[in-house]
Amino acid sequence: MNVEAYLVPLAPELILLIGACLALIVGVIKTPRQMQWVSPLALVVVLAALLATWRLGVPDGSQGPPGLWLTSLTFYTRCIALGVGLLIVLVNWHQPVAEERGEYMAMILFSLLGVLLTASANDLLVLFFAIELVSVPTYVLIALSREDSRASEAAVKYFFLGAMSAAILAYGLSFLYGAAGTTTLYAFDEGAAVSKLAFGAQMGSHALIGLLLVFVGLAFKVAAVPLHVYAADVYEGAASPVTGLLGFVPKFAGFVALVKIFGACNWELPNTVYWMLWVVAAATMTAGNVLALLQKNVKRILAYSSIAHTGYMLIGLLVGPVAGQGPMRDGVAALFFYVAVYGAMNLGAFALFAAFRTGGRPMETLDDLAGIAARAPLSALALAICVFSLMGLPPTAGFLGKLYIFSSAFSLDESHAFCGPLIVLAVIGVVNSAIGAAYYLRIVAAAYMRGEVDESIPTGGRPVRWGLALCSIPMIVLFAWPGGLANQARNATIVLHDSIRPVHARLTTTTDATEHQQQPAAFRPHQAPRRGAPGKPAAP
Amino acid sequence: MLTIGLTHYLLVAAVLFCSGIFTMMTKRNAIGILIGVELVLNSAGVNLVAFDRYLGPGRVDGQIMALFVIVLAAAEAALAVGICINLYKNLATVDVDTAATLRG
Amino acid sequence: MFARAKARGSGGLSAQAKACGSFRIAILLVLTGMVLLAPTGSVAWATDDAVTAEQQIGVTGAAPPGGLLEPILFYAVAMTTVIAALGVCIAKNIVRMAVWLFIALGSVAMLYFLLAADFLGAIQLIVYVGGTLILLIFGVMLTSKSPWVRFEPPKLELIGAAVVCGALLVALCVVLYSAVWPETEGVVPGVSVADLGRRLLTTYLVPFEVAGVLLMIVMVGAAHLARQEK
Repeated sequence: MNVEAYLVPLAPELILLIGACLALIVGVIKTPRQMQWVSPLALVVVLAALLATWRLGVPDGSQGPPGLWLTSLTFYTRCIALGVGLLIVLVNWHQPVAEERGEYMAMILFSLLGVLLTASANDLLVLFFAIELVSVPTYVLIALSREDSRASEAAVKYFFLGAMSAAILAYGLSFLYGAAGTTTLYAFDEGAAVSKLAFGAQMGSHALIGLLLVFVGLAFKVAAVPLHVYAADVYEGAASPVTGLLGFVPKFAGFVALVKIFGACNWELPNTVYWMLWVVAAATMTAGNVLALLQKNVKRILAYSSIAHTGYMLIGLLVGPVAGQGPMRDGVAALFFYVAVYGAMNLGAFALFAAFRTGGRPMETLDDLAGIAARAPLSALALAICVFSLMGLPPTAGFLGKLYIFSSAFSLDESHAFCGPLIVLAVIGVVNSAIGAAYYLRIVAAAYMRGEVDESIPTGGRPVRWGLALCSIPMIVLFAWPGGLANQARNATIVLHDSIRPVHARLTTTTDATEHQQQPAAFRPHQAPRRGAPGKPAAP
Repeated sequence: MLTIGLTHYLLVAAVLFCSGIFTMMTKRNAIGILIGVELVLNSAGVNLVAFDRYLGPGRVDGQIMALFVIVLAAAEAALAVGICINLYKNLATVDVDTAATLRG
Repeated sequence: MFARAKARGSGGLSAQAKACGSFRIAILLVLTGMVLLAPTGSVAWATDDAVTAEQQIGVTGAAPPGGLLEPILFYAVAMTTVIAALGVCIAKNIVRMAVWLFIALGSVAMLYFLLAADFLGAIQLIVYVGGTLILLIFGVMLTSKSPWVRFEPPKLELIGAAVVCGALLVALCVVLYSAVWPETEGVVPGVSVADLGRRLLTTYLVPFEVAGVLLMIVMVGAAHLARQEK
């Protein structure tokens, strides 16, 4: 069969899958000697997957098995998920202390595999299962992360909310299937697809209710307001390295899925949906920032900050893509840029808590941070960089991320129906960033201003500190040279525009996969001229 | 009334969905919540099969999706039992409200 | 009944007797459900055969398959489903909830049969009713010292949830009634299991594999979580 056309384009996914299975096998051998090989194995697997991504380059959309559509969005997601995945493996190097490291690392790799599949999914069923593949390992990870009843409590909370949202997502997807008559998301020919439905004001009420339910289901993954309640408890209960993962992996997958679904709707959402999303975005930002002010536990502060960041990212989602423009004007490109930066800076903040213990327990509260600047100046500096980046201060990439998001809203075309409300939303976002500065500064102040209260003992070995360094250094580097990442983010959104979607000769679900012949991809002539050609990745 | 159409099945699914949501909202027992989740997943299944029957003659997409929903339900139930046993070993309760060490 | 049993102490003999009593009621309910549902299932199969026969001789039309039989069967099964779903909502005992769920799942399988999805109906009975539900009961048995725990949520919360869900149901009904579906008229040919299997390994190969990976993760994860000593 078409081994070359089916398997080779999926090399990064397959490497992750095989690597995860290897980690499971190594995990069965419970001697300490074998255990210390698990983390390097996971690191090598992620590196190999990154290498494969780089070797394959940007897929042109003509290859891959049915149900998947490999595009520039796939390429971007692979780079970011695997890049941050590398840092996640480093930060989780010594986790958990018990014998379960093989399973633990395998779960991390499976979760990353889910993110990669979400970006390629071109079928409602694949999308649904990819999202579940992201979440299910995280439930196990939380419970395995530490030998503490709080971890299993956090796992229960996360699992049951996750199961609820998965069920609601399934019900919503069933309506989208009913409205479209097919499970295909984008069609490349005359076949039916979700993207062929009438959207905008003509949107049928059944498709609309499906869309709303899908949004509710995915709101859990990104921790948006009605379903954010779990965040603080789960973040506090799980071990710090897992919390760093929870802030990025499900959020990234959720946003990619939302972008894919909204992209299938051509961003022509009915007014009611727009207003609902507007309210959700505003409430998410405000609730996250205000509740964070009331917390003492740093993990809870960062949990609410994660909710607030979801709010900022929702602005980008609402602005939508603008063909061929950079992230300064393209909301979705800004969202992609920001979520990548957020993944690293959030992980960096949690990495410090993984690297030190105080008074025989992991560091958690603001008091625990006291005097860390004197004991470990470099680690404290890395924490400060990450926190300033979360805050959005200028010499960091976090500033650029926020700038892109807000400027994409401010530079909206006057003809855009929601120009006014979106600018108001961006103003709310700016005000919220100012509120957020208060609690971020408390973290930095605790690390630098207070005297030594308790002994903090470094526990995480060298890899964890490398992880911390690798999270913070790119924040400065990306501020100086954002071009590479910004270009990639722009290229990733190109497939979302109907006019420039590559034509496929392939029927994804209507005919048998065995019968079709691969044909070279061609670009359909597009109506609107666009700046900047897609395809060639800029050197990062 | 006597002609059974798509809407009839969808209404049954809607009732299942709402009962599932109600169960998830009111039941405090972990297994109780899971039962609510199963109801909602079943409503999705009924929807999918009904659409498959009435909208896509000769095609099986809806049935296959429903099949996968059943697979997911089985997987979630297995994991739920594992997680519940884990919690029970630690706290000797499956009451989601009693398990409230995590409050800030 | 349960309150009294609780008052006398959960370890007492009388409480156990009470427990056995309600278990007997549960089993009776299950058996009644099975007796009621079994014939509808078999008749549904017959209807399905009639459809294919009709189709073979080339008779098609807007008339529903099975004439008057289908509405009668549908309303019977639908009522069972709805009553069982409401039973799950109302029940305050976890085992009773599970039994109501059993009936709901069984009648959903009957709905699948009525929708000419024979294979799916069978899978629903085998995997869902036979597997998942048993797993749930195991969960109750393993995690609760006394499986007859009652839970009484606050009145206000109940009313709030009822209002929300009622509003949701009304909204859904309005949407479903007003929606225009691209419905096909006439007799729809049934789908063969062979077609289903072929499609599963071609068009839906990726989700098939992902489902396999997911099941493996769940197996490994559940085994570790249940075993983990703290």
